[in-house]
Amino acid sequence: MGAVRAIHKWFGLIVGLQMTIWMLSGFAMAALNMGQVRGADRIDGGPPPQIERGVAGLDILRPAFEGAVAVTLRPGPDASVYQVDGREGVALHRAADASAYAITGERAMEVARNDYAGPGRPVAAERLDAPFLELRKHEGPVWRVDIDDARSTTLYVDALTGAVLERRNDIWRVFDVFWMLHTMDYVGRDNFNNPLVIIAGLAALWLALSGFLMLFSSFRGRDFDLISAVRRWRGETVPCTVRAPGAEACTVRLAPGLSYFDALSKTGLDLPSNCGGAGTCGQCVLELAPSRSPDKADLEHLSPAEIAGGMRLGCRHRVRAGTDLTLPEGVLDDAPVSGQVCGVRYLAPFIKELRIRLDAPLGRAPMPGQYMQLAIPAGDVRPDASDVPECWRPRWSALGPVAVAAEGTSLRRSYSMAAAPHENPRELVMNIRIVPPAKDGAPWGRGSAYAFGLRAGDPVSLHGPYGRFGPSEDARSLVLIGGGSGMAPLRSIIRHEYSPSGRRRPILLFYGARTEDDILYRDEFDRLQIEQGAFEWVVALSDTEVSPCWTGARGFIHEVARAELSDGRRDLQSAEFLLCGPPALISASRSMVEGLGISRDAIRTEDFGV
Amino acid sequence: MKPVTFFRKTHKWAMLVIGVQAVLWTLGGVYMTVIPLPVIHGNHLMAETPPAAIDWARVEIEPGLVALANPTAHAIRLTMVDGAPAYQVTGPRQALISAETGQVISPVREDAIRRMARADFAGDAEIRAVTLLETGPMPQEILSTRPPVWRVDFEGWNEPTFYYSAETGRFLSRRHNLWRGFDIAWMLHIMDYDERADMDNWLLRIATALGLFSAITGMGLVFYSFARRRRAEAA
Repeated sequence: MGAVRAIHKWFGLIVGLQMTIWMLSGFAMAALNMGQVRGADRIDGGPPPQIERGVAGLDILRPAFEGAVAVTLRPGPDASVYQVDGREGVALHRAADASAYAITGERAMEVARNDYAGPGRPVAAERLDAPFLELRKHEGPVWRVDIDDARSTTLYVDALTGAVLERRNDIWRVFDVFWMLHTMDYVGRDNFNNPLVIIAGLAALWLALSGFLMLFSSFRGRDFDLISAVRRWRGETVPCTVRAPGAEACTVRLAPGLSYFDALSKTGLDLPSNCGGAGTCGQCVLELAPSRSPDKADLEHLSPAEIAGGMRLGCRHRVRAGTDLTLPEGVLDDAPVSGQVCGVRYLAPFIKELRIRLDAPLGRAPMPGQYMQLAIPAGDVRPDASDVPECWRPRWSALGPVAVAAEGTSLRRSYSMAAAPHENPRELVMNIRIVPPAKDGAPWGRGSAYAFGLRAGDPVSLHGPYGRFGPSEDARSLVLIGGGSGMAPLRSIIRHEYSPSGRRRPILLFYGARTEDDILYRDEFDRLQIEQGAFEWVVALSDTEVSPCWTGARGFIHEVARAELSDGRRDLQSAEFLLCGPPALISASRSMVEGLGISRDAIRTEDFGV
Repeated sequence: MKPVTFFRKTHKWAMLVIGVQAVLWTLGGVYMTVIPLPVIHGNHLMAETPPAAIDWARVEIEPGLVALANPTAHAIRLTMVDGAPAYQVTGPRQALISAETGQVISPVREDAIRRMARADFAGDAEIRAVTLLETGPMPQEILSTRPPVWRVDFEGWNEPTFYYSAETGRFLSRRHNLWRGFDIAWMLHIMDYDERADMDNWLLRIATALGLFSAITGMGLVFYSFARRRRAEAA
């Protein structure tokens, strides 16, 4: 097949432009109305006048027309005539007396008046000698009669016989330029047997035939995979894990049935390519599982070592759900996105909600549960507690003096997005928890100190989105367990699930907080529980000392969850468990869930961002 | 979608639709350009004998009389037909009238047509058949001709055919296999499969628009195919 492709490519280079010109001129000529081009729509179709009575008889004709080949009696422009065809040429005679009858300019105008049926009138007659460009198939003297219609119609009248030879107009003149381009006879315009057009035509034949053969190899089964096409049309996608050097692994939802090359391209991840996915340039290399059987094009472009290492051409393999793939450097765009803090508020004594207005929407649309990385600039950071609300000041005082976070280089901190992706593509919402020092006098965490100190109007730089945390397609219901600022991705998942684009699966949220003050988004979830029958949330407070009025659950959240889940009222086997919070909460919750007989596959965790 | 991907996909799918027609266009185009047009027109089939002059001595009937008898005639032509002077009357009612006797000769008899065809044809190929096409739809190759018509078929690989009007005895047209091939190429070219003459059909307009689109996307592909190759750095 390589030879055919090479022929197609090289002949495309040689004759492609002329092929385009042929198609263009062909289209233009087909689009023009041929009746108008020929002036046929402005021909007076009425019968000619009757032949006069009293015409010259044989006694006059015999001597006058000796040697004639044919003598034709017919109506002329203003009188009946004998047209005499001799061996030397043609002449007209008045029918009445066989006297000479010349086609004068006035008679040519009369011919035009009789022939033409349009809005204009003949205005001028000019005597010319054919052939010339507009009258190239005729030889001899002619009258050019101009008509003053909008198309600039010109009738050519034979100066010997008075016959209308051609009816030209501006539509024909346009047509004729395309005809010239089509015949490639740039001089006479009519000779389509010229060597140039023959050579170009033979080259085009190679181009067309090779292209026709390629039709049989260019289409693959998946091009006609209607089921996947319908799924794509309905906007369905399947999750795949995408890795890239220097970037965090992330879940990207890809369109089913497409090649990785096309599906990644749809999400804004463009693999390098010169052929656009034909399997010929060998550039769209990515890493799939070594078990994927290599395609012919893979074997052609990749070394055995690369094949063994799982390298494949992205355009040769179809998307499968759950694939783990690694992109080459530079594809997963790790370029920072810039934005500005546009809102800050305290949600709890040590947790703030940060809203960031992005300068441009994210290149890849984020998914609920994913996170962004906030760039922390180099240098000292002093935790800023000046804006702590009055009622929570005692809890800050208990931490001791606020110290400067140690000098350091620039780094990144991951923060889950706390709003559903669809809510505002230009705005990110994050929950920032300040990390106090582990012991007195130790420096405060630089990352959280920086993030916590941000004020409205501050410029920020971010990377992402990244992350694989989120519910799977198959889950029938969700159990979310979280604590502290681990609320953020859970909130994003919940808000997405009950949005118009969500699936409204039942969700049971267990949330652990120390005190009543530490419960995030309490009013919002209370309201959601009333509005959405499918949503239920249980809060447990771990600090038994405070919140004397609390009537809800007390204790560690995993213990509360165990009690709630093991009462047998719920179908846990079809549920998926999403855990997010401090590492201790996650490990305790994981053992608890596994203790309920849930398989590891149904448990997903996110253990940073707290 | 990157431009090269767009070009690749649209070129491929547009060509799936129009590819066969594109092959037919180029095949027909090559046929029509390679064979010289005068050959297609069949000029070489005509004998180069000069037409006979009117034998005035035998003309007895006045042209005015013929005009009087045929008031709807558009033209009355006196010429030699099969060796005798005759008037060819054309118009809504057509006829061949002897200039010697004034009798209506039409429809022209077969033996006269044989002699005329023999004289008009260049070379000595045998006449294979002479057929009178009286009514009904005319054959594809003389679709717009008015019956009745004499069809004269000659022997030879090229299967030349001359057509004569049975009403006036006038030579109408000549056909042969190279012409017939040209006619098929032209039919495929303008995609009018009925009359092979109508360029104002929507099939052709849509097909040429699609062909133009395919060609442009193909040019886009040419551009990218010859762009500098940059092998992706495999991770």
